[in-house]
This record gives sequence, structure tokens and C-alpha cells, in this order.
Amino acid sequence: MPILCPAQAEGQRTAPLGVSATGELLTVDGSVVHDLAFGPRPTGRDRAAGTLVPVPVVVVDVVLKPEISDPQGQAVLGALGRLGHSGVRSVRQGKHFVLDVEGEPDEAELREIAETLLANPVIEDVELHLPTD
Amino acid sequence: MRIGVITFPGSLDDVDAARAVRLAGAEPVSLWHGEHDLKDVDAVVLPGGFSYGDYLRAGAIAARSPLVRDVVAAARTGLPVLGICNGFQVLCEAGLLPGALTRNSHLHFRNRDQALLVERADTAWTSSFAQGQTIVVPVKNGEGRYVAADADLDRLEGEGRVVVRYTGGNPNGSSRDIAGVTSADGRVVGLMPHPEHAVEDLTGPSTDGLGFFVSVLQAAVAA
Repeated sequence: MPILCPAQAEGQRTAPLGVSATGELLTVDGSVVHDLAFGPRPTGRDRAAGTLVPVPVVVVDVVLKPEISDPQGQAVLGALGRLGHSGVRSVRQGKHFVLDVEGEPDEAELREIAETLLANPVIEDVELHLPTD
Repeated sequence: MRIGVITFPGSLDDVDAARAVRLAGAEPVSLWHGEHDLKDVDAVVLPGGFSYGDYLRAGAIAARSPLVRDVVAAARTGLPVLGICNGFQVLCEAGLLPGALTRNSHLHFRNRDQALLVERADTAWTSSFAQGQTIVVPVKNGEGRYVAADADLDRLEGEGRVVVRYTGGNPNGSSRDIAGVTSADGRVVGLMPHPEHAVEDLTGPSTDGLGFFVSVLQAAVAA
């Protein structure tokens, strides 16, 4: 997640210089950085009001194929049972990638990234979520 | 004969692999994953460890390194390649071997001496064994469960691509007790157990592991 500040909204890159007494990130000129990491996470489909710079965010979800057993998910399910959450019947654990991409997302390239690196097609299924607006 | 041993960031068993190569009577050659330089070696070993900290998936990042891309190309023209443990994971991720290695079914790291049944004694790395021979080498992994789609497993079995199979207990829940597989041409072999840790009586449960490294000497002579 890049740190966004008012200067970036105007196309400049300004690194945060320090942290104020109240914990806010400061830029070189001492102004407060409005860090989106502390606010709602922007996604392609659900962007927070007041976002300074619309960043194309691509989300890739990777899960094990149904026929591949998931002992980690089963361990989570076991813990849920011990905690009294008996209503959960199954847990499948996966991976969630958030990619900030420059410019217009290239769907073909992103699909290649998702299918050839982020997921192993031998054992995993992959879902690519592009910005919809 | 010169046998290259690749070191990745996070490799652990490259020194042991080089030692096994030397004990077998060949010259070990250190190779660095980030360089496009196979140094004219006659065979390559990808050692065990945790390349790139097992980030993303075990072996996934290493499989995309410059040298592994060269190894993939050279293997397609017959270069003998042995992947041990993390090296096996790298070869599967690189597409040189079928299937994938995933988290052990019991979720524990398992470290023990392991009996293996040699089912293929005609690959570049197993010709010094007898088909049906049982050998004992250490196994040590947390993500060593060999998996593939059932249809692919059937095809592998049909083609006789299973080189070694766990016997006397399956340490990680691998499908059909598969411990190691080979490429269609028998030049590339990957296995989760560690033959390089069974090359001397003083430090290993046997010297059975030496057979893998001796075999490739014969394969190179025959080639």
C-alpha cells in the first residue's frame, strides 16, 4: 500500500519525513500525510469517499482446488469447534493478493501473472478481480 | 565429471550435496541461482533447504530464477537433473516434473530415517540400484505431501514415472506413497527424502544415498 499525500495528488512523489506527536505521518514540509492504509482499504469495486488518488487495485484470490485436501483449513475448523462455533461446516484456506498497478490494468497480463506465478495451476484455482469502474 | 550444485538464498543442504558428489567420485561445482552460468557441468543437483523462505509456495520463487530457467532448457536436451526436497519442489514449480508438494497432511515437520522402495532402477540417478530394492535415507520436510489430480497420478503410474515410494509408513500423506518421480526421459529425478544425508556410516542411517550420485556418473559415461 503506497502512502498517499496531498502532494501525490498533484503528481509529485513525497516521502514521509517523520511522525508527529499524535502519531500522524509528516512530509518534508511538516504537513500531515493522509495515509489510506489507516483508513478504509480502497479496492476496485469499493473506493472510500474522499480518496485522494484513485489507484487501480487488482485483487487476486487463490484457493486450493476442491480435490486437494487442505489440512490447514481443517485445523482452523477444529479450533472453531473447540471454541463452540459448531455451525461452520468447512474451512478452506487461501491467499489474497492486492496489486497496485500503474495505469490501466492489462487484463491479459494480470491473468498471466495470476495463473503462472501467484497460483500453481496444478493444485490451485485463481480468481482475478479487476477494478470495475 | 563435473556436477553442479545450485545455491539459492535459503539453501541448507548444498554443502552436503557437494560432499556427496565428491564421495561418489565426481567434482562438485558451485552454481549461483542468480547467474546465467551452468559452468559446463555434466549434471545438476538442486539441494534441500528453504529457498526464498518458502515465500509464496515452497520453491515457487526459486523456480523463476535465472539459472533454473537455464536448467529447464538444458534438461529438455538431456542434462541430468536431481532435485532433493526443496530442489524437488523447485523442479515441480518449474514444470520439469509433474505434480506439486504441499503442506504435510498432519501439519508437522517430520524428520526421520525413511525406507524407500526403488521402483525405477533405470533413470540417470537410480541405475546403481536394483528394481524392487529397499533403501533407507533421511526424510525431513514440512511441505512434502506429493499431490496431483487423480487422472494425472494414474497417468504417472501407467508410465512408470514413480521412482521411489515410501514403505514402512508415509511421512507426510503423499498421494499413493509417492516419494519421488522422474521425467519422461528418465534424466530428471525429484524426491523429498535426502540421499545426500546417507553417504557415510558415521553420519547417516546407511550409505544408500550414495547410489544416486554414483548412478549419474554411469549415465554421463553412457551419454
